Amino acid sequence: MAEAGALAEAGTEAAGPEVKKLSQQVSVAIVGPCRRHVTVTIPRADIDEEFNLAVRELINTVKVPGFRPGRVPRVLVEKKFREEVTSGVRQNLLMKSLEQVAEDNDLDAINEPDFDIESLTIPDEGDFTYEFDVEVRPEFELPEYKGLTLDRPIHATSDEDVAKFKTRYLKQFGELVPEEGEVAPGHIVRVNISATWKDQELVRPTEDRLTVLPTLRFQDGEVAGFDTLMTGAKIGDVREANVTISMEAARVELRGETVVVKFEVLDVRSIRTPEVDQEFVERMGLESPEAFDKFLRDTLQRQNEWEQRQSTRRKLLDKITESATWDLPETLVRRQVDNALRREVLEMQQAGFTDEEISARRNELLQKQITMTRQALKEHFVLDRIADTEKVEVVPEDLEFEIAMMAYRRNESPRKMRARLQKQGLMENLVAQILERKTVDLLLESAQFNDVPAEPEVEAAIESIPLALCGESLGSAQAMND
Amino acid sequence: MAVLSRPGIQLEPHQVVIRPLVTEKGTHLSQRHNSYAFEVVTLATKTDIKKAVELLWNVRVVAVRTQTRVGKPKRTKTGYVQTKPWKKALVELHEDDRISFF
Repeated sequence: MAEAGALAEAGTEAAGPEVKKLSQQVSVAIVGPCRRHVTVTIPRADIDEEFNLAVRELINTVKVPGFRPGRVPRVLVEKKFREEVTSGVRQNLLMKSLEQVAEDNDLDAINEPDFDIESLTIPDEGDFTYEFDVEVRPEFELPEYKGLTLDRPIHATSDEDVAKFKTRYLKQFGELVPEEGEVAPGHIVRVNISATWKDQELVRPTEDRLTVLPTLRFQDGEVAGFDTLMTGAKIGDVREANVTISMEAARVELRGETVVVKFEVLDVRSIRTPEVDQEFVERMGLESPEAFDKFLRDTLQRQNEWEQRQSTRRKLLDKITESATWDLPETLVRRQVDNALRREVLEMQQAGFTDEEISARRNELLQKQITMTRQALKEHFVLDRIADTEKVEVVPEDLEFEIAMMAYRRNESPRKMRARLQKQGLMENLVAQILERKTVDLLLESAQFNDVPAEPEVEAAIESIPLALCGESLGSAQAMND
Repeated sequence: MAVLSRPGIQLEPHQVVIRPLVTEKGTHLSQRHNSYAFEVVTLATKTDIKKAVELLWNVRVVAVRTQTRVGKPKRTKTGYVQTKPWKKALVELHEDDRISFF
């Protein structure tokens, strides 16, 4: 529904010869959420004046055989260089006019007006009228953002937590040792996996190495209670499980069907964590086992602090956007979603997914992206407005520091990093990111915290393998993880 | 239609006038004296030029003055060559007539 906007007429008084204003007529109409339709009419007098100015400038510079510079008759210049003069006049007029529209009408545009300058022609007689649509920032009331009360999860770094963390940490340095006895939870087994459905062989015996965890997940189904199933098995034993094929499986006829999966144990191993002795800690670059314990405690504390910061940030953003029910500029959302989607599709293509597989998941991806983009844009607009109100600014030093940090993390020189960012056009994004972070930090400074115990950490309980029980894969598991 | 009635080569009007000379001096002459400069074929006489201009631009010619410009020697990598001589005509029009070249 279009609603007629205010008709603004710019004054003709000039502050100086350089900044003479056009006496154009502008009408702004609301044509959708955050969308304005602007119609501008530039009177003939302004066009003629601009044209005269352009010709006068050209006369002084143009070179025509038979004439000294500056002595070429005006009519000749007008005729000979008509195209150049007209396109120059059009560009100048549009630039002046658009600047004036932005100044006089308080249009907080977020993108360039969507019109093609080349397709516009200035008529030989009469006024020049052009129209365009532009997206503007959403108008909304800022929610209360100072002195917010936020829940802050407190992670207690008890000795027990440190011990658990130590076991987990040491596992990465552990070695696999053969187990003589029976399979127990946490063991690593080498098994032959085969699947049958109504006496039809779906998966030929395939060798794989698995960790015995509560759940084993295939690409199209999962075995719940895998640890109980395998516990007590010895080398050579075969264990069976019934698995229901998921509704997203590649083969339609198998969706929802129950297949029999057999696991033949070939080998049982467990991870032996290394002894924390002087030799081990020295290899880690530490002085003593006590220093190693301190290092673990510090690392855990840092991790916890990071998680706490992330969590409070998330809560803060949720809080300031929870009242944001205003409309977003649809084209902007669509463009952002398209970009994200294109990126994701490209990644899937690179990971080896076929076009059919990608289009099958397209809707799901689209939905996910739309929700994420909407939330991100709302956060951006609210934070941007708060930054504006609180006069938060990004100074060059902030940018330098951020680039230096990024360069350090990537082991590159800051100059190279900056050049790459500029080449990829990511500088603006970086500035916006720093601005948002500074604003969030400012809000967190004034926030009050409600300390709540953190939720206990969920231990890894799922083992995933890149195998499809119905025999046909929707892509490799590696690709899905990417 | 041939313009010339004398013996010899009969030239058409567009063969007589080669091009108007649009120069600073020519523009000045046209504005001040209502005279227009043309490059014409060397064979053409003042009468030929008068008739040709009257026919081509539909104007009344009051006077024609001609100049024969001699060719200049030009140096090339093989020696000296001579550029072609050409004829310039200054055609004065009746005070009510005008020609617009541009």
